[in-house]
Amino acid sequence: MSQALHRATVRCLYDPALVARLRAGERLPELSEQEHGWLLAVDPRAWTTDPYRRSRSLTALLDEFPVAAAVRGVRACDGFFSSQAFHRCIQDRGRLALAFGTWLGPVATLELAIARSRRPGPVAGLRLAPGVAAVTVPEGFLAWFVAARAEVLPLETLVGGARPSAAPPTEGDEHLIIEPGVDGPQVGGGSAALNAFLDFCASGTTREAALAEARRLGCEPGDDESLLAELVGDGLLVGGAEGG
Amino acid sequence: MSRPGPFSQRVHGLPRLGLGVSTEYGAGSQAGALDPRALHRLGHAAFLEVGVEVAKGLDEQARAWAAAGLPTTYHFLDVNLDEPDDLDDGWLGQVRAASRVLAPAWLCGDAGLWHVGPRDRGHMLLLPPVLTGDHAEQMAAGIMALRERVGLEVLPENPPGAFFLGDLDLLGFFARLTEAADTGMVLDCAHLAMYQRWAGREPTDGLDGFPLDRVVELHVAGGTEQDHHGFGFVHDDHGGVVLPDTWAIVERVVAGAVNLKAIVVECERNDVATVVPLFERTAELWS
Repeated sequence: MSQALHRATVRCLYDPALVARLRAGERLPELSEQEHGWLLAVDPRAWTTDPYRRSRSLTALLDEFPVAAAVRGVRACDGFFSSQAFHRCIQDRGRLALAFGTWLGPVATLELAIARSRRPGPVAGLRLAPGVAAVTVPEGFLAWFVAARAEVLPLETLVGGARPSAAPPTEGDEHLIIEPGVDGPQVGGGSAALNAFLDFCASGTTREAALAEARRLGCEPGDDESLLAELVGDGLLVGGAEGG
Repeated sequence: MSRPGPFSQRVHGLPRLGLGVSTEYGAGSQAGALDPRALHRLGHAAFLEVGVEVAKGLDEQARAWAAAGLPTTYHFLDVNLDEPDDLDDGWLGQVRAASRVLAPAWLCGDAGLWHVGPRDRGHMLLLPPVLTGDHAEQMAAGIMALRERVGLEVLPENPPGAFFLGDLDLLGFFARLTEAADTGMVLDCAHLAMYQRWAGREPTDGLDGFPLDRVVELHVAGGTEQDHHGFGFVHDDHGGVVLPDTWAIVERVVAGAVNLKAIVVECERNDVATVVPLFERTAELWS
């Protein structure tokens, strides 16, 4: 398949280590011997004619993950392009930002949720409104995040090696809700029950199933209807007006 | 609108646009950028080829050109023609919306990999097609689908590349692609020169047997020879110096392209004084 070969080509362009492994005999299961032959026939120097390919892509990723990247260390973030996460993302037609956020680990939970909220999938039925996400982070994380963000931005500061002065909290739970705002995503407080309910709706559901889930999470009969109406009215949920 | 019937008939319904200049979003706002209207006033740019990535939309320069009633072509920068899912309703809707503004004579664009995975930040790039018969057939299906769904001719362009994969040569690939999609094409002479150099051929090798009647538009662009640890390649920088290989291809193709309607001189990051000689030489070759 030409598409698989194209994706393998992209991986080689980003990762000279993969080129070296292929030249040493490694084979990609998605490619035929003939396609491997074409890749191996490329002059090895041709893969690296663009020395800024990784740094350009990393800059785009840093824009969405400045805090988690600063914790990891910007120089270390270049390693993403040689990681299994990167290669799997390209070969599986995933989204680089989401793969990068996942690769950064738990410290990227909030930024990853924001990145996901910017990229709503093709979900039908009652669902989160575009730009809305519910996320649970360690207690005190939002305050730490705001302070850390101020320390590592703008981008020139981040690229210069800035790191947050305090370590991120790791204990307890803090429930947050992300909503779209005029100047970008806004992060506010949630609750265990509300976040669980929004999570339930994230992949799309029916009105009846949502009401049942609301009751399971503690809503009294009658209150489930008003909760749903309130969340739709507040712009956190959309769809599902057709019922069933 | 694209007319029914074979390309050999449809091509006669396409307007002759003459010499044009290219732009893409934000190009005109950069320091030292070319002002297409200034070039137009000097009589050197009859139309504007607008590079469009729908996520960015149209900039003021493109809108002003179209609002003045001047001719345009729409150069896509964001569709993988070999992926049926890429012609999604959202993207098509934005293409149609931009086309309503620009009223382009046709759509065109590099037949290559414009984005890896879904369209997203950091996913955009440009790789040439895999030069195989199968890939030509897949891209032809995309061209026909896009032509039908947008109602305009869709002219694939040969993309640039520092290397190429597959078992066909580039001209053989585009001969198969244009025949399978029954379409015309944009022949980028600078890109072809890059390929010929990579393949160790003379600039015009293979053009004798190529169906030049499929060539509706030509691109002429400057490039810079680069050396990367001894590996030579041409950087397609659209600068003010068009390499001799590119001129040789222009001269050969212009002489045989009976359906040639337009030539774009790609030079959007140069001043007018630098590019006027390129337009003059191109016009001389096409006269």
